[in-house]
Amino acid sequence: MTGTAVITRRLVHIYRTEGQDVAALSGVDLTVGAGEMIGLLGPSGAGKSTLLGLMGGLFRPSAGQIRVGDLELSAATTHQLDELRATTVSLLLQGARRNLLPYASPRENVEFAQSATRARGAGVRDPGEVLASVGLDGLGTAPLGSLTPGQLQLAALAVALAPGPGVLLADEPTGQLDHRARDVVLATLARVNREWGTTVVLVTHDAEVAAALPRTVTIRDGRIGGEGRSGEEYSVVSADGFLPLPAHVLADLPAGTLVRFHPADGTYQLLVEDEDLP
Amino acid sequence: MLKVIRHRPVQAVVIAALAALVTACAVLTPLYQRALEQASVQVQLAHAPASATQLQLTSNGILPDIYSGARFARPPLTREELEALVPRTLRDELGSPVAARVVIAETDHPSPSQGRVIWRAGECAHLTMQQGRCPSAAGEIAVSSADAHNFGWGPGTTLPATEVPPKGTPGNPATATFTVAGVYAGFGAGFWDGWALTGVSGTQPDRAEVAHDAWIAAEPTFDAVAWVNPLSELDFPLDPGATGIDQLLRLPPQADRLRLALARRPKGAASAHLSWDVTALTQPVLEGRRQARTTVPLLMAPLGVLGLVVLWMALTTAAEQRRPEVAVARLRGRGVRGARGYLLAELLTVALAGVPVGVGIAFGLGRLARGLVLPGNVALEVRAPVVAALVLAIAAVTVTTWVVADRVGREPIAALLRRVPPRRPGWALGTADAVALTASALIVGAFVTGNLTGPLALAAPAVLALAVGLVVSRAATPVATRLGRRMLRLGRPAPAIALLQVARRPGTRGVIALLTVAAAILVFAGNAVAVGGRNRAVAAAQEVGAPMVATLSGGSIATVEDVIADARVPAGSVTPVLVENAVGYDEQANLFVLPAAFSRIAALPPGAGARVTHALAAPDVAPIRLRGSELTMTMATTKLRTGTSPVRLALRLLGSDGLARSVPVAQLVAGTTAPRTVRVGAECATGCVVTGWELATDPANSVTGTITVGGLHGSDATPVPLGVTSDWSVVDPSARSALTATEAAAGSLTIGVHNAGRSDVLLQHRWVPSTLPAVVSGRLPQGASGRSFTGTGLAGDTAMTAAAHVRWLPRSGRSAALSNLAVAARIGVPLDPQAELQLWFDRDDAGLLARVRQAAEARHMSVLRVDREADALDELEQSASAWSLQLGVLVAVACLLVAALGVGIAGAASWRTRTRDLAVLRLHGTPASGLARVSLGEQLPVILVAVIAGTASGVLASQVAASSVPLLPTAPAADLLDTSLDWPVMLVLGLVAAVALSALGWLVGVLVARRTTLARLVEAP
Repeated sequence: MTGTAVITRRLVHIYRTEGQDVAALSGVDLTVGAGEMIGLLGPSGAGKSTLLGLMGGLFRPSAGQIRVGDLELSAATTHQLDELRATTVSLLLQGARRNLLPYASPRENVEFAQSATRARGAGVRDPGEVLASVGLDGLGTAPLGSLTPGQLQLAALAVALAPGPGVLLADEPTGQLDHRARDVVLATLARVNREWGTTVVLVTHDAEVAAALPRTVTIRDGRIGGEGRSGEEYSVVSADGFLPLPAHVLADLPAGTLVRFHPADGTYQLLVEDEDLP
Repeated sequence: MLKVIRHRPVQAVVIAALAALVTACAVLTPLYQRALEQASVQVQLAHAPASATQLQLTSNGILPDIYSGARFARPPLTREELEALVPRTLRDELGSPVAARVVIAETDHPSPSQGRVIWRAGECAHLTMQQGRCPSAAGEIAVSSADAHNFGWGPGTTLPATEVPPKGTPGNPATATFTVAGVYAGFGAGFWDGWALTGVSGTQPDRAEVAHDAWIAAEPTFDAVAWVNPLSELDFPLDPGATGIDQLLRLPPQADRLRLALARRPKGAASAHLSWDVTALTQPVLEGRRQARTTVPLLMAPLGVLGLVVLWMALTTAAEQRRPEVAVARLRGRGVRGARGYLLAELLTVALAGVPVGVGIAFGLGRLARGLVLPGNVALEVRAPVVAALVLAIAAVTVTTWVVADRVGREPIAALLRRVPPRRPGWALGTADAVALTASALIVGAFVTGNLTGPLALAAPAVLALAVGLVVSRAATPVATRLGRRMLRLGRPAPAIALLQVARRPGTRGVIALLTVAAAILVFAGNAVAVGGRNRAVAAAQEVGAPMVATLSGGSIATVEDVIADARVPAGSVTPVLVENAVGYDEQANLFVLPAAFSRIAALPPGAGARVTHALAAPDVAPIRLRGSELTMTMATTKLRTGTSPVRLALRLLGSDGLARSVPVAQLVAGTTAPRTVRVGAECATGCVVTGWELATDPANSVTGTITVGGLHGSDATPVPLGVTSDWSVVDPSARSALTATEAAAGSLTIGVHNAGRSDVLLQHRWVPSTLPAVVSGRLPQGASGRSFTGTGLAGDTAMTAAAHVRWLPRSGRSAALSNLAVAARIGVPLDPQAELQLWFDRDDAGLLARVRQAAEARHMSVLRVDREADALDELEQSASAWSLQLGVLVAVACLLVAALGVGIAGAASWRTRTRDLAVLRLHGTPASGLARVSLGEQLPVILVAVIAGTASGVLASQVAASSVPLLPTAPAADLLDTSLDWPVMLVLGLVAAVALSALGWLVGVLVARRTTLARLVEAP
């Protein structure tokens, strides 16, 4: 199994509600490489879940492009989107039970998740192997009601991995779990990413989870607010020249502040209007 | 699959049960209809007269012609010859034939009497012998016990008899000597049906010869004597056990073909006559079938629709609960078809599992209805309509399930992932609702304007209720929202929250639609049952006329009154009625009654009793009574011009025998004559009444002047008062010739004469009305002018005046006239032999009837027939229309149960969500009592609004469909159908529905409130 890249260009999505329109995404440029594991961070309402939903083909963008592998989702047909979800993209919803058929065992859930993939002639792993890959071998036939919250989340993860997707989109996969279960789930995700090459995009509010990820992308007000890589925080210049400032810088430079970019030694200095040049 | 179903077992059971209900309604409809049709045939066969239930072939040969002599005489056809006339295909439909032979004979021993001599194959097994034995040899007869009593005949009595051939038959009639072998006291009603063996002994049925009952003879009697005009008969009875509706309906065309074939027999062949009123059987059966095909679907279809609505509700609830699972299916790559297939795999399996259960229920209910409602033991037949109904039910269940699954399957994944499905606010209609509403409006509109007939018309009441339910359910959300917000502003949080919950709950619309339809059907069915019962009661009362009516043979008005006196009848409990029956469909029946007693005893439209008494009151003039065999009077003339011909004055009298007579008084001379005494013989020894003066002369002779008569008296010398001038009326005021009373005083009467050429002119005492007042129903006969018309009086055409009009009169058809019997008798004509004398009883009293029967026989009359209102009602109750309407009881009960089930389903489907919402309130400090108020507030207003809307639409549907529901087996000739709504029944049923469903809603609300704990907040959805 190899991962699938996800690329967005100037991605815009507007929710139309009674009496008003809300822009959830206002031009997102993001590239997730094949086999990469990233976290999406940001405050509530920033657009993280919307971005995840767009990546999963749950709805179409209002503007811009989003490409998963070779498929341009904004122009894809319903059939193509169904096939995408059957073979390439898996969405792990927030709340383990939302991903599971309540009356079926973990193994039966995995088999159910693989049925559409098999119907399209694509190969899938043995359900037992899938369960084993998340550490649930031995619990394949257990009733869901007998599983711990952590085991339930792993079962949900198994279901998401069952079709052998190139991209796994996980919404708060560690939410409502204790530390130990959280660590187990994270470790499993990392192992899947490492061993299977699955591209993993997960949404989290947990700083500790974010710290464990090789790359994080912060969404703020519908735009990429910054990135974190190897412990360093970066601001990302968008295609239209927008450069979001980190939060702590914003505290010193409120809205309306005039700044200049002064080239210096192959880089640029940010100078506030009333500062003198050296 | 089993695992899926076991996960929500209650839901599965409910869906299967509702599918079973829909199937049961569909399958039961043709099943019950067919059973009803077969039962109708059984009832008709059991109650129809022999003239309808058996094919009668008779042959009485050809008599010797007075011109051609005996050369062309032919004996009647034999049994074998008669049997050969009936085609094999027709014979196969009938039972074994029974032969009979009849002659009419008279005897003078001890006094002249005549009657029939009958032999019928197998007769002895159907006679109850009181004395002696059944005849077996030639010349032996059995006589009735009435004959034995009246004529003194007994075993061993020898009776010389002479045949009574038709008048004009040449030659001597046959003679025979019969020996009484036995006396029969009773006979099998079925075998002898239509033969009327007894009932005329010693009577004069046609007011001519005295009759005796039938003499039963052995077959050799007919071979031993050369009877001139014997009748040969062969009867083919229908076999009730083997005659179903299909066989019965094949008979009329076969009978017609046979009739045609017999008419085409060659000239000179012995006559063969077919008598078979089979249409008297088939017409009610066909009418009953037509009614059943209207009423049964009219009642069952709405119940089926209701079941389908509740099934749709349950399936929608189930599908809504499975949205997360459908979302999982879509997320894992299943498309719309796959998602729909996921839902159908479970829901359709469960729904179709209910179908065989429904078939079983249909058969069970069919057996129950057969046992409780239908007479006999008709089979439940599985025929093409039942199979078609089953297919229809399966299709309906499948389509409903498919539509529900498809709707959820098509939803976008984002919508499926939302916990509360998105709802369009306000009054916006979904496409399905808009289509349903539009179709409903079109159907109802067409029905109301009379442009919709046939099967669709039957669905109109249910469709109307559905349309109302849809509108009310759509209005519920915005109205509840606005009211809830207003309650919040007014600071009433509990009702506010309850109303807002009502607005946001997805199940509210379904519950409202369901309860509206259920309440509407309940009210509609209840009204149909009540109105049907009311009309049957009125029809039975109108058909018979009184609780019991005895028809007498022979007699006169005077003898009938004697019978009443002899029978010691309690005052006012029996009244005589003379009936001149209508001859044709459009003819008028005439009834002659004693108004006061009749108004109390007879069945009349409401308020008609007083009008009858008032309109038929006798003239308020005292009669002029005389007694004696000789009458004396003084007579004078003044300026009398008598013309060229003799002029005679006569006195018209009504004798004590009830007959009018004209007594010549004097021949008048011209000029002025002094008073002179005139004596005339009159048969008034037992009393007479003066009814008028008559002037007779030759036609074209003119007579003018005055005649004064006075001092009129009979055997006692006291002159009778002749009244005042207004007591005398001109018979024909428009005529140029008339006698007028110009002066009357002190016992004398001056008569003005002006005759312009009539042969007789009459001055009539107003004690005898010149035209008979009548209370009429329907149209006046042809030739009527204004309110005046010619009706059938006691002896023929009589001038009548319509004094009042009522909707219908008892024991009559399209039109009838009711007149005063005592007043009509004053006209003084002999009774029409065809008129029926009846006694109408104010109650069904067997003891009173027995005394009347005995008194009648003592006066040589007999009770020919007794009709009872209870029997007529029983017959109406045993009809297709009654059985169909009684299905309404089952429908009403089923509706209430289905509605209760719907409330239960809605509660079961939403209790988790509701308890969670209430738990949030609890978390924020709302006390338990407040939670209960909120919970109840979510239930009760919805139920009450829906039941009120449903009751109103049920009332409207009843009004709209009133003329479509067949209330009686056949359309009555009289205008007595009353389709007005039974408001008490409808309102009571609406109240029952409101109370019962509110009680259930209260229970659900209380249970939901009690199950509200804070733990609900952390439960998984």
